[in-house]
Amino acid sequence: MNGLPSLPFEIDAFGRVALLLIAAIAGAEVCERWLRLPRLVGYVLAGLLLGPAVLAWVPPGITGDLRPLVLLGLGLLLFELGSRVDLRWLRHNPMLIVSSLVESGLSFAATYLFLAWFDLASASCAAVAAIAVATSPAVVMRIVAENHARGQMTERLMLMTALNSLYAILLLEISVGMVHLDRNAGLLQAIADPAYSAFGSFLLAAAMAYGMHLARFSQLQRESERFALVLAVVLLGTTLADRLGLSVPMALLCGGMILRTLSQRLHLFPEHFGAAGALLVIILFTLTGVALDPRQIAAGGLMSIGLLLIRGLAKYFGAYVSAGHGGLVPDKAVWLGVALLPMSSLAVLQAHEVAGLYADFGDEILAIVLGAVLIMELLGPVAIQLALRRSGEAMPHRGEGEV
Amino acid sequence: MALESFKSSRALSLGVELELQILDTHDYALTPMANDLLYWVGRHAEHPGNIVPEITQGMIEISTGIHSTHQTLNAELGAIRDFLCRGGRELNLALCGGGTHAFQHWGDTRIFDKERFHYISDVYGYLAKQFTIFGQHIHIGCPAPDEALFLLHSLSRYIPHMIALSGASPYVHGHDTGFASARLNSVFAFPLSGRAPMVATWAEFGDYFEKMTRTGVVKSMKDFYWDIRPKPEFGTIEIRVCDTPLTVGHAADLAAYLQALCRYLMIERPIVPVEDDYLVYSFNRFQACRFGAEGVLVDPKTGEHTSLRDDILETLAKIEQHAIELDADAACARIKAQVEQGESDAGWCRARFAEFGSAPELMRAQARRWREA
Repeated sequence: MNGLPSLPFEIDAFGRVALLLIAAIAGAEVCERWLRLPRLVGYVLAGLLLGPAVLAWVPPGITGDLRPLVLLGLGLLLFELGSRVDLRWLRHNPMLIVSSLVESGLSFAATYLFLAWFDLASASCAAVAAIAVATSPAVVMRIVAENHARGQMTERLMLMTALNSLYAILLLEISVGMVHLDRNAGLLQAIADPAYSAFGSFLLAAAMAYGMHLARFSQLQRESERFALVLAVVLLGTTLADRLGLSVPMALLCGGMILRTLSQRLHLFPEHFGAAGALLVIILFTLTGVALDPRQIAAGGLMSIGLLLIRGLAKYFGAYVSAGHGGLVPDKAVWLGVALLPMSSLAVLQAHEVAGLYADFGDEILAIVLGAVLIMELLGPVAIQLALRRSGEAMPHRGEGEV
Repeated sequence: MALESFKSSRALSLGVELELQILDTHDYALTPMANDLLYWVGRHAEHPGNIVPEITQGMIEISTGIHSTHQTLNAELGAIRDFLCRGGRELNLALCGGGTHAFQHWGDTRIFDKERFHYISDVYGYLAKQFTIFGQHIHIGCPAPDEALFLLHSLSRYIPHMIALSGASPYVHGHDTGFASARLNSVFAFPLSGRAPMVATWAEFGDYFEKMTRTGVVKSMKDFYWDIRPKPEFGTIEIRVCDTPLTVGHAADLAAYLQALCRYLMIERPIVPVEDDYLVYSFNRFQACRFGAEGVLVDPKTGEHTSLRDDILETLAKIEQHAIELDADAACARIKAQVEQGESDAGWCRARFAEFGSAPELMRAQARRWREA
């Protein structure tokens, strides 16, 4: 009888990943059907529930083991967001740049002043403020797709998310430079490091985009092969940026934007990269949930909540700048401010990166940022979905004869 | 409700309405940005033409003022196009002509939020959404209502001409329908589409209208989806069978051809309209929709079969002097060349689809043609 396994047997890592995925889908169904929340919230909640913070059902090393998949999922969404941004639009409607700069500048300044009021070190304040500038590209892309949203606010939401993510990356590099200065490193290093990262990432992005363009990407007839090629480029970009000490998100975002400028035929991208892309997105958000720890809310405490309120107000007013003269219907501009609220899960990566540089510098930041991110992981998707539906740009039940 | 009286207008004056497609510049699907574009338009007080919503959010309608020649009509259409294209650049959307969107599914459209459109949607169900099609309506001024009815019925013989010359909707839901104008198939589905009743005087027409309103089937002239319809408040008849052409220039040329044709009909009176003219009306109309200028035209009186192409060329010869009088001869010459060379907007669409291999690429090419031509 030794051909039969002995029961009960230990569920291995594969089995646990499978359970995690099943829980994510179940969570998404519950959220959509009964709670009328975005499916995305279900993925995150399932991860949080099975993760170490609550049931501890998933193997402890899972976030590390699956990190390449998470980075790939995030990379695809960043690249796709970049490819949706047409820089020519900025030339024809300069109010968009004004609105974007005001929104991001206000977010940065308000957050910085709020933190400085609590006597945090100025470099820490700057780092948190930089992270607060970004809207989550992943959440935006996912919720827009889930709701089949189209319209002027949706277009602007994607554009401003791409831009504020870029500003955030640059500002964070600069604030890291300030840390170097604080710690008596040479001025040269304080300037050279951010400059190397910014220019290097841009050059890498240009190389990726030109490579794809020259390879006549759009002539490939099979959608599956176009997807495989995009995947390869994202992997290559991620790995090269990582090895060269450049900014991965900046390289991917810029890569998408440059490719869009080179080619008008990006509708040939499979929508949200088809089923394989969707799987990566589910893994991305579920594992984001696994990594969340509710105790961080306690650690970040009122600072996190205060930060979110201040940041929210700044984004809201900034977005309103594009109302009227910028061509956005005022009713929609109001909701654009709400849709820009989700904080970037990039922020988690960025915060960890900064924390890795200087241990004591990182701790203050980590607590506040992670607390705010945790709240926003759950509220952010709800905010965007509400904004898309109230502005009339969502089409939640596409094809079911709604009016 | 009684029929309103017919306002007199200058004979042969012209006005044009065009329904346009609003496209997403990313995937070239229809995008529900009509209210965004209208808001932008509203912020520019001094703009050419009249710009209003249409039944679904992915469309917008432009209309011109009253013109006596197609040259000034063309200039105004060009100004409206340039103005809206500027709006498109500021809002990141594209506009284009053509009678159908090549790959839009009717289920993906949204009804524009206006009482009349919701009413139509309630009454007609999915037909209303399927009505996301794009036509050119040409108004011809008539001094008196009986003149208008005479012209309306005389023109019925030439309706296939207008369909064949404007056909620009070969693709529906991503597939080649084989039609030059597949758009009109969506119009025929409406119960009150087709032709006006054979009456010669406005008094008789008033009787018909009253009978129809008493049945409760119609409330106003707007409820008739006829190919040609009198428009008493403008003092015009409105020809509604044309697809929106791919360029404003062709839209103006079509108006010029129709204007010369009407002048010929009104002055030479070659036709005495009778009910039997309509015996082959649906057949001829189908031929024009399906095959464009390659279709067959049957003469209701003689039963003779000719090709639409030959009939158009013959007509162009007959109306030449009238075209010269109206300063429309250059436009008629362009139409003649097009028919002789077998060119058409539908043919252009098919050629671009074959060249680029996909429906979104065709829509992108249509947007470029609209903007640049």
